[in-house]
Amino acid sequence: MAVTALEVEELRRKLGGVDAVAGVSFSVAEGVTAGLIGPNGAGKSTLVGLIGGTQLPDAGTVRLFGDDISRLPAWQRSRLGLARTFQISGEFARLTVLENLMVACRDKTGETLWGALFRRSRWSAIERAHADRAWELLERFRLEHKANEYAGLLSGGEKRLVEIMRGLISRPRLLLLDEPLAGVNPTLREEITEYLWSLRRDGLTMIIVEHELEAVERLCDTVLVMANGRLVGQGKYSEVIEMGEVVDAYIKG
Amino acid sequence: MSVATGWEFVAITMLVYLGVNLIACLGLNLQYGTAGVLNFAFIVFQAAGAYVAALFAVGPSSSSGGFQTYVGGWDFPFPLPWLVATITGAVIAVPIGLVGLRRLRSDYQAMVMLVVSLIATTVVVSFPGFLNGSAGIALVPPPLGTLLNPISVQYGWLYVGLTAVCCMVVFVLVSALARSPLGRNWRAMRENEAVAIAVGLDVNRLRMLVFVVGGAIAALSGAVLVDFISAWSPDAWLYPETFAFFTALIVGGLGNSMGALIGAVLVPTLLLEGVTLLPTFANPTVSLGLQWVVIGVVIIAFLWFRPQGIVPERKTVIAPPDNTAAALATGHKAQEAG
Repeated sequence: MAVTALEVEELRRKLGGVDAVAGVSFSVAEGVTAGLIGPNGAGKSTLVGLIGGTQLPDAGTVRLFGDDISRLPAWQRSRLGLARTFQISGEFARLTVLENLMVACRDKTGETLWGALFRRSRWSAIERAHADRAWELLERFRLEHKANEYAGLLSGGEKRLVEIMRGLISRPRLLLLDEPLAGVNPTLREEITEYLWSLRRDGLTMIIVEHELEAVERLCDTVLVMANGRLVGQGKYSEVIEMGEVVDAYIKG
Repeated sequence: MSVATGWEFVAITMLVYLGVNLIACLGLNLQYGTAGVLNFAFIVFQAAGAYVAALFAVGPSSSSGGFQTYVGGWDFPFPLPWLVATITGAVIAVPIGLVGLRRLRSDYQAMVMLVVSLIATTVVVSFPGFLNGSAGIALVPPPLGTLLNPISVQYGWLYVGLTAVCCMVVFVLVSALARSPLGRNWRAMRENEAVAIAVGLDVNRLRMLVFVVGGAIAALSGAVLVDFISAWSPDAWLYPETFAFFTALIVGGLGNSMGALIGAVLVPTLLLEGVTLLPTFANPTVSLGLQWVVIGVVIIAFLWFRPQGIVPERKTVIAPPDNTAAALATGHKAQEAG
């Protein structure tokens, strides 16, 4: 039987008196790519925040591969293998693209005061390995010519790629993508979809919040539909696309 | 031995002040330029270092006939007072950091720090028995004063040498930190805190660490200064002094040690101290006040026309892998396995 990567149980969160997330439960098995769709204000972003740890739930639990992470700060969730991208590109503007990726690599020697100052030979070897891995990702995403550019100078689409690569470099067990195609030109959108598809083929567990239904159809094994803070449907794309909420939000316009 | 006079006196004084300002700027640059922590209480750490270095050298208050009163008072040999001062800077950073840096957004952190600075001055002035109030502590014996006559030129240059050693140690340490993975984490926190947290950085720890290291460096700068001028009072560390250092960093260029060096030469040394050595051209109060007008104009001019400063932060360029095979071995296979 497949291992459960993410299990969300009765998750609740009030925002300004409104039930932004009002008792949501679902689970995602390892290796599965799940889409999360729903109209604006459905509570998708809040749910992503609760899973990622930027917000804490009022009630309910979030389990990552069996570990209860409901109350952990976001940085600890990241160290347990949960990587994420942001709806509005979150790059480190005055760090180079390479550095943007390497920040996501953990190295216990060079990150301590003592180690940074007095164990240079040790951490520089680790740094080289991290840099090599970053280069290799950049080659895969065909962005190696921008490796030593400041990330703030990249185009919107390239920033998206950097975010995805930064998520991948830490070898996550679950990748949470918040609208990876928003604000990206059609060519690059196609390219990013292609990359995500290859990640899915490699067996990475992903949750993708996305408004581009075409991409959701192509990428997702299962689709979760949210409306008014609740999960109103779950199933294959072909099944949920018939639902009233989805038709209202996406097809009727 | 000749007594320091004329140009040598000026040179020695300017060089020691430059050293003190450089140490301070390097500390503040690590906090603000590298990590983005707005420490508007920076001068408090310099003051703490100065007071502690003074207390550990001046001896009990009874020894000077009791004309000044303070808590403690020992006559430890050099360099112990400087060491204790540096450690004190690090230690007091912990409670101040715990109150001011956790659970607050960075703009509020800056406000808390400004308030800390005001409270510290008020406390010292209001409790004269603590650190001799507004009169301050005087008659701090010069370090190694038994070796050379403290008013000689030779002693002056010896002091310049001691200051230079401190500068070099701090310069090397701070530059090494900035280039390490820890330094990169600090810069990432400065650029985007939410994302820094999302990629696994414990920003509370990072902020506290830079606060402690910068606090120690600031305290050392205070210790070096107090032993040179042999006295320390609240007038020397009013909150605007912190802004002189911020101006220095903005002028010199944030986030790199060369920028801190150039800023330290130009702003607190040439502009602030240099002006006091010029012949008085007006009412002394007016010329002292003018310093701050000039500081204000300089900071606005730079923020408008050259916000990156004279020496901008250098980009960290990392070379591609030596050969692709090695890269594939470390990267690709590991990724496939993961």
